[in-house]
Amino acid sequence: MMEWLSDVMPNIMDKLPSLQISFIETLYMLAIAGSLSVLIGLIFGVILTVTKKNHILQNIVLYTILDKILNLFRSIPFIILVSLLIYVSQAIVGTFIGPKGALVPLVFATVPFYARQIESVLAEVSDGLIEASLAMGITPIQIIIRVYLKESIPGIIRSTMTTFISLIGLIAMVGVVAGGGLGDFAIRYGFQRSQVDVIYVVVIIILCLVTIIQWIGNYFIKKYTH
Amino acid sequence: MIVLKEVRKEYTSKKKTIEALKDVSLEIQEGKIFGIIGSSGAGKSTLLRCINMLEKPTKGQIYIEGEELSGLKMKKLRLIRQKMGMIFQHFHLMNARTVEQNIAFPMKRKRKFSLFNKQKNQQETSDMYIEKRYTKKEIQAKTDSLLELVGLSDKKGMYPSQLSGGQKQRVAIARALANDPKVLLCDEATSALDPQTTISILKLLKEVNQKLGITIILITHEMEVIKEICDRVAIMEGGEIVEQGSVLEIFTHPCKQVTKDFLCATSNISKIYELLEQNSPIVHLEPGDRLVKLQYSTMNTGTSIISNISKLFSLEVNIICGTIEILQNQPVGSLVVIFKGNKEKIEEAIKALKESQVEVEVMKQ
Ligand SMILES: Nc1ncnc2c1ncn2[C@@H]1O[C@H](COP(=O)(O)OP(=O)(O)OP(=O)(O)O)[C@@H](O)[C@H]1O
Ligand SMILES: [Mg+2]
Repeated sequence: MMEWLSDVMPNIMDKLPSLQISFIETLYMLAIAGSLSVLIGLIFGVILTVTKKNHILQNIVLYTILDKILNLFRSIPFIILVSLLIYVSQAIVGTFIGPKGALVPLVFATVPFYARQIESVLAEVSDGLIEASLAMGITPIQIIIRVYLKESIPGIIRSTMTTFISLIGLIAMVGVVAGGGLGDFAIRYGFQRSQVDVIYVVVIIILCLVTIIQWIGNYFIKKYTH
Repeated sequence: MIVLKEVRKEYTSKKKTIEALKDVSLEIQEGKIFGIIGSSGAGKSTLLRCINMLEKPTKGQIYIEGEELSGLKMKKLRLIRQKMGMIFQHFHLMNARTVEQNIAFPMKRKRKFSLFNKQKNQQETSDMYIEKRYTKKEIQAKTDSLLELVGLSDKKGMYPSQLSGGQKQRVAIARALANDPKVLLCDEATSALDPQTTISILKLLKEVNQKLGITIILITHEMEVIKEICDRVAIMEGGEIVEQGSVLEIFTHPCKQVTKDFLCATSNISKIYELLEQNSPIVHLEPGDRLVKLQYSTMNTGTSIISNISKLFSLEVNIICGTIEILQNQPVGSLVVIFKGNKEKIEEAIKALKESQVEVEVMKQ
């Protein structure tokens, strides 16, 4: 078995330890950047929703500022964002290379993406339902938690899934610049040394990762859709 | 009692200002079912939403049990709102919650630990400001009794998407009653329902009114709804209340044209107008004949009127169509008849009818 593998994939077999490290680095970035982005993005998405004109905590100034900032970061191409944020990375996590240094640009790129999705998911909660809740004498915080978020669980899970999948793409890209992760691994060996089997293996691993995320997401979407 | 004093609501957009309510004054007695009818855009929803301050009036005061609302802080306003249930045309239930959870929703509040709040509540003079906090058991018991009241005990585990429109409205009613409100505001609560379901929901509202003594304010564009359950009715047009009175008064002695139009739309008497327009042979008159609409209530019943008139003035009276409706337990009849006979006699007959408190309208002569 091992022999056969060494035959078809001569280059990958002697890099297994290095592949393992790259895989763990990718998972590390996915987990940390993903959960941070989801947390911050959720908060921003909620703020965008409730401070909009004619919404429960209308605040045009706050809305406009947040809206503009998110648009700004969304419009910068990711590769450029990575270079733009090196000093910010340095200041926040102490480095701008490696998986740790990649976290900052990853979060900066993902938060706007996720916040916008959350905004559009929450916009689907009908104004009528919010009005009904106001008429019951419920506080704005309760409306956010028990109405907006609770009613949108399937949509939130779906956006989270999409965000994690697109984050995998960003992680591959950031690896090339800052170093680390499966993207870096594939480029270093597969692209620069034309070891095609390395690329195949990385593609398969990433495909599996995406599939697992989709499985988990779809399971919960189904569970929470009534 | 709910009192509105010169409530005005203006919507300002860019350059235009829309007057949705023009100094509306209104008094609604406790324990009554008060109907507000008007066509689309008359300002009914705006008026209703002013009552629980979902819409802040531009001017004017609203008093609920003597408490003036417009000056209230948000916190007190929320407490007042808990004492006013509201139901809507499109139900607005939470799809992520079961029937049971939807009903329990308004009762579930964060518990406050602070002693300070409790003391503050005890000092309040009006019980409108006391926020009731329920234990889990109380919530369960209350939910069960509400489910029973609206007849959905067997559906408690279902989600709104699995219910019919009528059932959804029942859930919405139960939810609106969860905090033991004193007032129930209904915004076109039956407009999305078929006639039979409408009747059953109206019956439920009547039951709620009678059993729990809850004042109901109901807005609609259908006279049928008013007729079915209201005690009093106000007619709105262009942001104003043009006419109001007990349902019986309004049905028997409508003054304004809008009111008459609404009444026409419900009774089959209105078909006569179509027949008149088409010059149908049914309403064909010989020279001297008169086509007359009679409306009468309470004491004088239809048949005796007709036979008396016929005998007394030796007229031939042909009944074209007629209805008898029961309003607030009183029969109200409408008849369209053709008087044939001596012209003077007909005049005398009409005069006699008017004297015995029958509304007479000559439709064609
Ligand atoms: N938020 C708003 N902004 C601007 N104008 C409004 C707003 N809400 C209502 N209006 C205007 O106020 C008037 C009264 O509206 P309202 O919704 O109270 O009518 P309604 O009697 O409830 O009608 P319907 O039977 O269609 O529900 C309308 O002319 C409407 O255009
Ligand atoms: Mg309306």
